[in-house]
Amino acid sequence: MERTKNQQFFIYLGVIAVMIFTLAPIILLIIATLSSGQDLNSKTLHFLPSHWTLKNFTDIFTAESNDASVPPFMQALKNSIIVSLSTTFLTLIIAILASYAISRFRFKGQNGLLMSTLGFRMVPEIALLIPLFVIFARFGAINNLSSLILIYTAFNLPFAIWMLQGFFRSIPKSMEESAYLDGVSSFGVLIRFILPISLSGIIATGIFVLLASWDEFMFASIFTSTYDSKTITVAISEFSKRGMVNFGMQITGGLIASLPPIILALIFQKFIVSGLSEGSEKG
Amino acid sequence: MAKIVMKNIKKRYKNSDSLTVKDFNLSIDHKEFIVLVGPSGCGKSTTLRMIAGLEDISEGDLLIEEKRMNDVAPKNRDIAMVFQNYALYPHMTVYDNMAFALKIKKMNKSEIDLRVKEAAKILGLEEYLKRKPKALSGGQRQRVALGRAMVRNPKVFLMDEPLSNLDAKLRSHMRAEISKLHRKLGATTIYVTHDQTEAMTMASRIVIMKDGIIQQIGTPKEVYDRPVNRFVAGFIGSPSMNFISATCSDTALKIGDFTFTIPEEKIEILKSQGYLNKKITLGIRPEDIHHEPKKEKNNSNTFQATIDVSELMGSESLLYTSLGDSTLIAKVKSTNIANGEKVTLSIDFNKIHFFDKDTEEVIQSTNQSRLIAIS
Repeated sequence: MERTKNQQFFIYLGVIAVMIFTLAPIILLIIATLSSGQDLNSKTLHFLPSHWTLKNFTDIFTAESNDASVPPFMQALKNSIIVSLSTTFLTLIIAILASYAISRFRFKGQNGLLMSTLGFRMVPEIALLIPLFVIFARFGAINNLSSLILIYTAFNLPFAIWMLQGFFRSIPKSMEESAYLDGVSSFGVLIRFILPISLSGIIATGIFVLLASWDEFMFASIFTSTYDSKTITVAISEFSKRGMVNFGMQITGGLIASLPPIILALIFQKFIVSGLSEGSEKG
Repeated sequence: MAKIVMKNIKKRYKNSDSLTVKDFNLSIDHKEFIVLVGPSGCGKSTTLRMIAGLEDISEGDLLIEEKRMNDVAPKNRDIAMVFQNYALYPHMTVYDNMAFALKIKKMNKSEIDLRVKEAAKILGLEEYLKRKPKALSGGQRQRVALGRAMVRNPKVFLMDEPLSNLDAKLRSHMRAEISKLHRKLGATTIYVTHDQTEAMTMASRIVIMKDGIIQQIGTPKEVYDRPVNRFVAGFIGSPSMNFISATCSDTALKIGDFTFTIPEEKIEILKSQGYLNKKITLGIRPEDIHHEPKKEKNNSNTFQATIDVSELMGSESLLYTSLGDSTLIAKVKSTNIANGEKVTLSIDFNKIHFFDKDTEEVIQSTNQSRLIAIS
């Protein structure tokens, strides 16, 4: 059906409205990072700053841990990168092995195991916050990045296992049997066949885990109190203190924190889309 | 190219009380093309998978070239298998799919290249070697699966319903291709199918199974001409054999209200086995019922039939009618008979089969049964 010019005009109008609605906050965020503290704190509302400045960026990148008034942002960024990449790596390795076993081998308590991973995911994280803190404190593992990695891995595993075993189940079993007949071991089948074939699913799962651990705030804020161990979400929150809010730093920190997920999403969008739709259909 | 012997093979799955395969005995010769055929769930695929080593053998012995293979890993049995859904490696090109098994064996590259190209040539896949399976049609994928098995030059080919995912036209084409391939390579082949046409056209011997039990083993002609029971008779041949209850006196055969004179030797069979004047099941193949347009009334082997449905198949027609209490299908030369028309049909009583009403075993003279036992 051909659309008339009028119809097309309204369609575009609608598209533009949606674009403004979703993009405007991001544009405002970018403008705000380039504004001075004066402009951000002034009572009169204005769209563009009175003068453009990069001071927020220079401040945030030069903040040092010896300056007690400003949390060291670079250190926090580094911590976040370490924590989220390690979490993703660890989660994927464990989840790949676990979901392959669950989807392919038959063993006692198989369903119970799968259900209990899901059940674990149903427990609200806040309920585990204090008990976990007590346990980790006993072991002297507070203010330690590995503790965060361990906790994030534990919380992300159920999701990753469920997601991956869906992908693995969609791979026809006969393909693996054929590989066995060709002389490949079960571990070889996993490495040579399952991983490459379900790559998009693994990447999609990895990105979800990465984003979840990148964005995590609650555990990070409780488990870390030194600047050496704080992650980016905690650091940003600390730009506002009792009686004082540093809008410029907070906004700039927010912008920088949101860049890695956006970049990742752009690079891997092909995998995310095919990954999300793949697990559901039979191969 | 190997001799395979299966002795008293049984399969019991965990959590199951009954046997999936019950006492399977078969000796397969060099270069034979054996087709295991039967309805789904009859244990034919399980048997094949036990030979491949993908399923454990619960009891019995599997010998390939006189070596016991029960506990030998699949990869060391020197067999290649073609799966129903092709089971190609989706992330590899056609070339790599075929070369994979050889690479695993660490064969040298030029030898691999030679074998893959040779197989591709035979199968007409030369121009697709660089493609991924996704970019191939069903028939081409099936050929790659065959090629993958061929390059390994195995002792035994196993095929698990390799044609059932193809459309009808392609299936008959590939059927011929596989037969040709078998003649060319001469490898012992075991082929599983539920399609009796595939079994009849390709097999050197057919093994008909039901509920995990071998019903009959024989050449296509043997199982067609001399089925040992009602199941085999009904399974082999298309459309299936007609089964009608009848009683036979020492002069004539009675079906419902009709009386037919049948050949002396047929009556003799019933007499010798003690079935005279008892209810028996009569088996008549649709192709042994003929249309008699000239209406030779009073002929002892004809009867008047009202045609319920007439299906024109092209060169022949299928006529659905009834005789006694049973429906009857006749396969006759293409005709213009309309639905509801009354016609004269004749039955070739030389080719009828008798079955016991209860055991469903064929009723045959003692001589005949000895003949089958020997074959």
